[in-house]
Amino acid sequence: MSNIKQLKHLEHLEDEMLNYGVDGCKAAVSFLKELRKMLGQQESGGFMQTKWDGAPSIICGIDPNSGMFFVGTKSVFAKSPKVCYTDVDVDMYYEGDLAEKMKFSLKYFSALGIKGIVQGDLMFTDSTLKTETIKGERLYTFRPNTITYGIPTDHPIGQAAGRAKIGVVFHTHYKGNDFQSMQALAGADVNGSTDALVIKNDTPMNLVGFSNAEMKKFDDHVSKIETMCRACGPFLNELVDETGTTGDKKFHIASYLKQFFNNEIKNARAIGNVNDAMYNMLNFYGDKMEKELAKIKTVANLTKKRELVYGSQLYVEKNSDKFKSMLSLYKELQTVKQLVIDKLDHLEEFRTFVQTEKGYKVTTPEGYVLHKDGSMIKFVNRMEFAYNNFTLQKQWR
Amino acid sequence: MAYNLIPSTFSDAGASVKHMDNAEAAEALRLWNYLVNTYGMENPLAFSSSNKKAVKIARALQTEFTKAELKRKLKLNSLKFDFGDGSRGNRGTGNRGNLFEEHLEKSINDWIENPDDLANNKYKDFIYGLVKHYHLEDCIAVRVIAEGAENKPRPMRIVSGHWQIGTASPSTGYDIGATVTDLTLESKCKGKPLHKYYLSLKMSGTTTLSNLGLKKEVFPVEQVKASKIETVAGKALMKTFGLKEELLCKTFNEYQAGNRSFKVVDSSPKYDKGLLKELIKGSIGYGFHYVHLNKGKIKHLEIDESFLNQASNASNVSISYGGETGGAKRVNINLKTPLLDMSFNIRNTSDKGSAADPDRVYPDKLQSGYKMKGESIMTVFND
Repeated sequence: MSNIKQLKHLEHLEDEMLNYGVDGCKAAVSFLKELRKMLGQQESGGFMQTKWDGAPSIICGIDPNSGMFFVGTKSVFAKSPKVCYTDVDVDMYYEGDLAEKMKFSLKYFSALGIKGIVQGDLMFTDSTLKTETIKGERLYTFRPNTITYGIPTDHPIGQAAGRAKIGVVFHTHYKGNDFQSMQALAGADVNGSTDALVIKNDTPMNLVGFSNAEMKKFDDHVSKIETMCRACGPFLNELVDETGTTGDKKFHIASYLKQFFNNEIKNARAIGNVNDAMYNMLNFYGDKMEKELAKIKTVANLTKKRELVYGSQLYVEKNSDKFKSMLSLYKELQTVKQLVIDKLDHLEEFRTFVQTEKGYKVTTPEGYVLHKDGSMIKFVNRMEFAYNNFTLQKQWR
Repeated sequence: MAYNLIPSTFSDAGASVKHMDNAEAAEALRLWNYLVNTYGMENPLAFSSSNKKAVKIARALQTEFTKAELKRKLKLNSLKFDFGDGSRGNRGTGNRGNLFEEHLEKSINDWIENPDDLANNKYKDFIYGLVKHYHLEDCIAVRVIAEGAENKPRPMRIVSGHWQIGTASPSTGYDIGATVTDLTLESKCKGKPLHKYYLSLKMSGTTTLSNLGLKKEVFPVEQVKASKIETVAGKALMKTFGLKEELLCKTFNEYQAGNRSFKVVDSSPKYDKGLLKELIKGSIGYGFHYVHLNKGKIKHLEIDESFLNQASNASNVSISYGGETGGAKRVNINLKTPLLDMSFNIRNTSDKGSAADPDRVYPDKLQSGYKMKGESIMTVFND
């Protein structure tokens, strides 16, 4: 479950049940229980990292085969990897802004004495770091992606940023003998230099103030989710079995559930009333199928695929109670997740804004990643982040 | 110095540069990556653990670029490189013909499985083109058979004064689809028997045409040294192209003597139209579908008898003794037909010398390539 080989894409807590059925649901509960230990200041093997909305994501370190220092993006893990050892390599694979950032990374990170391979999100270079007064506060600001970060100029990290040529958050390290089979592991033990500011991203869980009442509320949610997992388990497994991108599975509604939930978030709709959610889900599936069926050229195949779509609609009708339970479970996972996020957001020392037509609007950090036994899962306020991501204009990606 | 490190993954390539200094190592990996990505070849470079500065680029890529172009494009300022197959010979499993065959076979199989779902099919344009050309809209593709590995050799010889290439000759005809096929597609149309379409896959580059070894039966080293060719096939080959015995032999003898400037261009040789037509017809043949992959795009067309008849009418024959630039141990023959341009060359391709020819100077192979009108680079004869 979310045991990451190479850190290309992290999963949301509530999506695990759609990815892995009952096992995914149990994994979500297990993550929540670990989180409970951390919130209750009990001994825990897990730890939390704050996600930074940096860009680009840089992978760098010592190539285990050639022994040379390199930089790259996630494409260092591709079958034909883009690995840059020199500025010429950077120019071969990248251009414009991205190439400049890669060259900065190559120049300044190669001097940090990085052992092995690490991954981080680039925050700024000296040309993108600005000094601004926002809401009466003097800040160093940088906007690597959607969120604009602000660090008070008199804060020690702010002062370091002011001197640095480049800023980065390293969050992952890799183990393995070649790029193709490397395993991502949480954390990266890299110290910065005057030129390269390395911002640490451990979330100080010991500072989270959960009252007894809040703790009880959290426990009640987890207990309810556990019960719902047991009840929905066989149905979740059935949905996972029917999910696919080719053949007949491509026409089953199960293959469109994750897309449906994403679409709801994109349209700023939370899962509220499950009956309404069911209605929206069927409409979403209907629209998708209409487009798929329109691509089919032969009558025989069209007839066959129409039967599959009709069969899927009947399947929803026949299993409507199970679908509603699944939707309720999804909603419950979203609720408990938000409970935690709201607390963690108060811990951040830096300011976070989004640029709007009317100026800066205060926003929350991008989210958090919970690590447990080599697995990781993300806690993101998807509504807020999706709104920012899809609605607000970006400088560049 | 053995170039016996022939990596086929990026990790192996990384391990193969460990003995090099950083500048050469970085350039070697840049070169490896570029060749793999641009030409789809799995193992384009050979390294020697005792050479910290140089690599060999597989000969199959020799016609794709010049060394100067590559040096400029990839900014290779420290690394030395040359063409050579190292210890691989031509036996690498990653040779480009095989790779293309594998990819196309997979695409056709995907099409057979999901005839209406070609959106993500790598070669969908080719498949659409095939369906349109052979009017297969209402037919079903039954299966595709990979036959590349089983292709039969097509030796070239003179029989009763005529060229015979493989089984193709004026008396037996030139329908060679079943022999040269790399992928055979079986299709069934309503009310008609199963039909086979022979797909002959081509990649850019040069290769040896058929099994024409020149050293024994055509141009024995001693006869070239004596400037007197006496073999039947040797005389026939000279007659076919209008090669001048004296200049042919001189090209190699001058090179052996150390002269690197010998060059004679004969732009109006007295070639034998009939024999040349036989040679071209036997080499190309008909009864198959030509499928040429170049830079990720496929050009394809049906090669039928009418095409072959037109394509074998040679004109503009020109012979360059000493190669195009002069001073080389090769004789190039270029010609045009209404449908394609052809290029033949007579040269030494061996990796090691023999007692008669220790310096690998005297010709042992007739190589050839062609490009269809509208194509920019030569295509191999893939027999």
